[in-house]
Amino acid sequence: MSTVAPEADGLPGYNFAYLDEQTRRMIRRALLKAVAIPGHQVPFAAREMPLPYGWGTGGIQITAALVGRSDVLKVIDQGADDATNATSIRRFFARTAGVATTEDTSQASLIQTRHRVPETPLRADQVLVYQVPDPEPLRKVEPRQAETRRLHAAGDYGLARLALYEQVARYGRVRQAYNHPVLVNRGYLASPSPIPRFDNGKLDDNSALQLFGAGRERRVYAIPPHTRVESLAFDDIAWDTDANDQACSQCGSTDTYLDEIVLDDAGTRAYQCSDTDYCGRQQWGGVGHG
Amino acid sequence: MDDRPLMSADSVTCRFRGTTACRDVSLDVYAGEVLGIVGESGAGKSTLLHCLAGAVQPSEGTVTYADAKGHDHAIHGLSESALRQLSRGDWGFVHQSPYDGLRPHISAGGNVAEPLLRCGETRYASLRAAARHWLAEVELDPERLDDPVRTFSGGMQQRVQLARNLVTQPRLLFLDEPTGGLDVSVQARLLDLIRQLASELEVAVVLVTHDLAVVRLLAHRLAVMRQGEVVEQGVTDQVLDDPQAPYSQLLVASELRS
Repeated sequence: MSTVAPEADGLPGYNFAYLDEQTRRMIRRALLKAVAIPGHQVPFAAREMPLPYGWGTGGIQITAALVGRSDVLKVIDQGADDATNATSIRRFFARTAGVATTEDTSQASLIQTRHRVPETPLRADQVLVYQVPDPEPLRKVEPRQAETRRLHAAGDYGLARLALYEQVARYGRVRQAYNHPVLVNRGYLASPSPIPRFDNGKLDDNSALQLFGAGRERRVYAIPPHTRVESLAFDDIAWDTDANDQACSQCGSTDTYLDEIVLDDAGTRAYQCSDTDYCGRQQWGGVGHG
Repeated sequence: MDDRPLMSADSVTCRFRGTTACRDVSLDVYAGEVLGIVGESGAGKSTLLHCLAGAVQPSEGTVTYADAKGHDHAIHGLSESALRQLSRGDWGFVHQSPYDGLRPHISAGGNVAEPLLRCGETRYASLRAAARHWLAEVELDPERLDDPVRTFSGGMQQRVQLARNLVTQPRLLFLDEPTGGLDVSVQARLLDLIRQLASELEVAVVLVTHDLAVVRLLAHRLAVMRQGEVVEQGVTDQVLDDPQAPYSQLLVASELRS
């Protein structure tokens, strides 16, 4: 299943994993600080990467700073291993670091993800790297960056709850389907990168180290293993996971996050697991897939 | 009424570059009273008010606040978080322009509930009940609880701002020209409401205005400011009916009478 790139030492003329050693050290130092203060956004000197902002420049820098020769890398984009973003980043590391890549969640030691947490539970020896477009969970309610820092320092998250209040008042329930802010270790409020609300529960008490990188905003933050992560909510309104009552049309799973696929202009829809690796494994038991 | 002042300013001077906005101002605010600060435009009223509320750092002098437990705090020496705590829970600030004190795109209920959220309330039902209650207190239609405040008229927005500042049951309320820009009949009803609520809730009020009619109606005591200095202080009726300082005499004489 895993494939080792032909040039085990990467491209000639390039440093291992693209970034130079000083940059990798700088990012690792920022990551150590981020792990020490769970949920706190740590600034770092993000570099230009050979892909546009919004395509995962933050995540790719974290991956480049952490990846070693023995790592097995998996990259997912909205749950899929074969989407453009995932394919390009996977190939990028196969060429610049010569590391093994895989689509199998359980075999990967390092997983870079865009907007999903894999359905397969992660282990203590795995690291999950998120690509984050906007690291600031208070941005929508307070556009001034200096003020949001003050709010974080004071632990004043009333404004974030105000956004939820408005949703409940208007629509009768919390309507934010993705990017629902979380309180990490009962301290800092963090943006879970735009993962669906369905995945918020997977952040809590996860065995894997979870790292978040925002390239354009030049911030990294982290959720260390087995950290308490609570979704911001009201005490008297039950948390709704936003699961729908459909089953996957391919593998029949009813407990996964499903993509809704519109089939025609008459309202016919199909549902399918967003995690392609998990879905395939349910269908073929992990044999001959990928 | 307590004999110790709730808040007292001692020789407060605020300088901005070359200008002195207020000079050597000393005044006391007692629990449950309405203190009016009047003077012409540019007299330093608003600067003084912001200084009392902790938003402007005085160049000299101190402002002391006695909290509910009787502890004194020199508010300009407080840490940012301690000052935040006071201004969130103990004080309210009603701005002249409702858009300075409200979030226009948030519903009236949300605007009223926000201070409670910031004080740590996490139950939706309590927020809802408080918002409904305080909108009714300021005589707004509870039906409009979920309408964004930008759809409200100017007078109604000021009512929402008032409700938002009363919801935490503050001990001290700062009002900066609360009726500026409102037409006369709306002004009168809002003033009436402020007077009624201030006496019901026993909240102390510091009211800044250039309108003598407003202080005549609301204020128990009055401070007259001119060019950054307090030229006269005393009981409202006394200052307005028998002004001593030449400037107060001028001010009273130039009041429009019907």
